[in-house]
Amino acid sequence: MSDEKHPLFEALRAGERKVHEFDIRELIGLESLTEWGGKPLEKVAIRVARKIEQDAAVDMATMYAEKSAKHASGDPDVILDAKAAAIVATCFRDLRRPHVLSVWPDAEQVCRTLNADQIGALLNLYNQVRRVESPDKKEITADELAAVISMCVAAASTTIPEAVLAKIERVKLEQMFILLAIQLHEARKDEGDGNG
Amino acid sequence: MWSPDPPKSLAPERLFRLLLSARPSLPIPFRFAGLEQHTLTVGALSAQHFADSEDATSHLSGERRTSWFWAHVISQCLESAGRRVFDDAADVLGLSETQLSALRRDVESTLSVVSPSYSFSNWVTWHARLVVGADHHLNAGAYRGLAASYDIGGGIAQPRVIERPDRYYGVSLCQLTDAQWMVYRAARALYESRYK
Repeated sequence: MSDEKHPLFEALRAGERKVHEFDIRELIGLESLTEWGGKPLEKVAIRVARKIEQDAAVDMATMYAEKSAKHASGDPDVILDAKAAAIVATCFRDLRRPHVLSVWPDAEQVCRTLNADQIGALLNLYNQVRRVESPDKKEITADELAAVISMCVAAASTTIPEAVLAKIERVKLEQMFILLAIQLHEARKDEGDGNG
Repeated sequence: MWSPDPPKSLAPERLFRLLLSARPSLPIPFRFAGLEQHTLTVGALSAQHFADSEDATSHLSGERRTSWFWAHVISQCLESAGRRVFDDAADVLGLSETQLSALRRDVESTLSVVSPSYSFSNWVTWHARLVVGADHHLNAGAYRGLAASYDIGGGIAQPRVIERPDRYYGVSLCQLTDAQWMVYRAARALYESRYK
């Protein structure tokens, strides 16, 4: 094999990694969050993990789960929480030097600083960034939305809608909610026009 | 997603010609953002390639094993301008997780077409489709040339056919891919049904 790398690989390697700037203070309801040195932390950068970083985050999570919950380290919930903390530690970066410094050094520090709801809120934010950067732009179609609405109406008296919706990704649910809000707004406007 | 059955989108005669080539390959729709001018193709891998990828990752477990296995496979089969894009699995894992999952989806589905395997594919269905493909008038010369690659052994009392697709492909028997064996056996089946 030639020592020379493929031009496409070189271009990929040379490409600058995108960072997305966010003010997370309100999101996690934590005004007192400070960076190293005691200065209040205002904005952070979110950077989508490379696969190798994500694998390292999984390792970090496994180690943290083993350390923090010795008797329940194999519990899927413990592992899942640790993975969320590890991905937050990996992808939330210092805005001034995002490719060098992370906001939290590891999963343990994330768990020491934040509660489960705050970690969940940050993970949702990260997943939104992933969706923005994803090459797969899967938009919800009107037919898909109509099918979900029909299912919810037909099975409203059962637990089926909750069970089905629980399996849908949060980002898709957000899209559905926005589309539904637009449809409702249009319907109300039409109704108003008809009455007027 | 790996499809065990032959693709319906490709006519049997085209499928036969595709697998007849020394190293079948097909373009994939995936493009790297900002580098869309680099078209990508997926080339066939032998069962040995898959086994090597399995062996190279056997010391790992869980998600890490899966991601390294596919990174290994992608590094061996993904090409652009006739050259492998990635030298090894570590290069592939430098991609973002969202890029890699979209890339893997296209690679996996295309590999299942250019590299059908006796281990992962529904080879009975493949055989039936390839026999139909071999029977197309444009493939008459090719299928006869392939089907005629055999020896007669076993003596005069009990003559038997010894399969020699290696002669057609110009490689040793151990280097033949499962796809080449499938296309050979389809050609032989048609030949036997015509001339016996």
